[in-house]
Amino acid sequence: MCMKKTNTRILLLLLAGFYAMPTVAQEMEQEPKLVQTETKEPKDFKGLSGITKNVIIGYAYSDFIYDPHSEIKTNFTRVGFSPTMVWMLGEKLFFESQVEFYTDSGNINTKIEYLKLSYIINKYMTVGMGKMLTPFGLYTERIEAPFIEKLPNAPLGLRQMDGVPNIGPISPEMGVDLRGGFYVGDSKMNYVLYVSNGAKLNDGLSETHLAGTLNYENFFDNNSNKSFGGRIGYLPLSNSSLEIGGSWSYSEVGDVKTAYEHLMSKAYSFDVTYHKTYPALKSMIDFKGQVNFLEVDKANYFDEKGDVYSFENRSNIYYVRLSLRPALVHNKYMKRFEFIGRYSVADFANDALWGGYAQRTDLGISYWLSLRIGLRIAYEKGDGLHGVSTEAILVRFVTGF
Amino acid sequence: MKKLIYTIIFACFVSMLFLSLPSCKTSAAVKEKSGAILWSENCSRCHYSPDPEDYNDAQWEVIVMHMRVRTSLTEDESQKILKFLQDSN
Repeated sequence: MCMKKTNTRILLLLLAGFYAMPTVAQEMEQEPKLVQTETKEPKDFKGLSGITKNVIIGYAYSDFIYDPHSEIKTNFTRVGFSPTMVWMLGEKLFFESQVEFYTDSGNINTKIEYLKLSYIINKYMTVGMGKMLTPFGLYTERIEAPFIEKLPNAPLGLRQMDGVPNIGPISPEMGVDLRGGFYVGDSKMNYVLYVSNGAKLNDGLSETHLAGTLNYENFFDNNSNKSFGGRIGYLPLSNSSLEIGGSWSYSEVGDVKTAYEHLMSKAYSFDVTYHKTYPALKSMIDFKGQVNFLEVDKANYFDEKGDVYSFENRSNIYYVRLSLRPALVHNKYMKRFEFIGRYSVADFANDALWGGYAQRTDLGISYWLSLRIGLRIAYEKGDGLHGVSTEAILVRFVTGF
Repeated sequence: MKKLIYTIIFACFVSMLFLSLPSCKTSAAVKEKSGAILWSENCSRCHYSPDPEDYNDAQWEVIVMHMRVRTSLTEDESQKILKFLQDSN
């Protein structure tokens, strides 16, 4: 009797299961669709998906130099190609990456200039993470690209070069940033705040002559301290012709578990841009300037003989650049010319082995074959570190966007 | 000396900011700026822009998003510039 009851229960359960099966199957069928829909359109984060779109932009250039004081007076010194891929993954999500291929001093170099994933949180905020052009001053982020820089060379101290001290973060860094722009009345403001690995101090053990310099391409952090920095830009005029900005960056720079671990670096920068068309002059005037200050705590280093010396790194660099393009004249050839003058100074810590003062004046002409192709010629003259005079004629053929 | 320079620059910066605060409301003239004007005012501050015909609508959408973030353009500015470029290509 008991056995019969048990069999009946099992039978009922099987029947219930049989009738329930289509429902379960339906749910199983619907589940992936549901998951797909939820993934496609998450309620918390809008604009993460959609039709992906991408574009490749970038630039390419070729340089020539005539240096009357060098043993090799003429030289095709450098060619570079930098494809930039911008990939829009959703209405508010995109990825951008620039790879650089270039020759320098006879070597072929490849590097990732930047690689960053950004998400537009709302109309006032965008967050991005990856390897980024450091938003310190205006030059590195907006002007440095060879097709944007109107002269064939960069101002003193503002291009990342081996063996030359960085005065402030002028090269890309690994980190995260938050940025945006908004109106304040008829004026505008923009801001960037960032956290990055920060700079790494060169303690001079392998490169004695560079002891005390900072390297910002610190792709695997040398300590747990992070760099905090940012830039605030202000455009007081309603036509956006004037922008002034202030930047800062703080970080500890020494390797972990060394005497330099808590060495502090403070960098500040001020920049100004003025761009306006003057019908009376039939020209567009463009003025740019930037000053970087760097302070690194006093520390002991060893010279080539093994003797200890110490210094506090207080260095600064600055440049001003003025250009005029008679774009409103009727002559179709004349309107393609642009005349540029620039003065730059690098004032490095006197007590450092790499210390000293250098200044350079650049006078150039850029001829715009089209809005994307420029032929630039410049004459540069200046005093390098330790009183060495420099003089050269530079030519650059460049295209890009 | 450097501290004095920092202070002066910072004071100028803050003063200019405060001077603009009394008129916190954006004027109609600024609000009604066309995409063409915004394109001319903003893009040319750094570089000369290519012809709008050089890229198609989808490509401009990606490029404008890239530039909006790079230069901290406002949402309104970037939308108007995008519309201008898409209407002109």
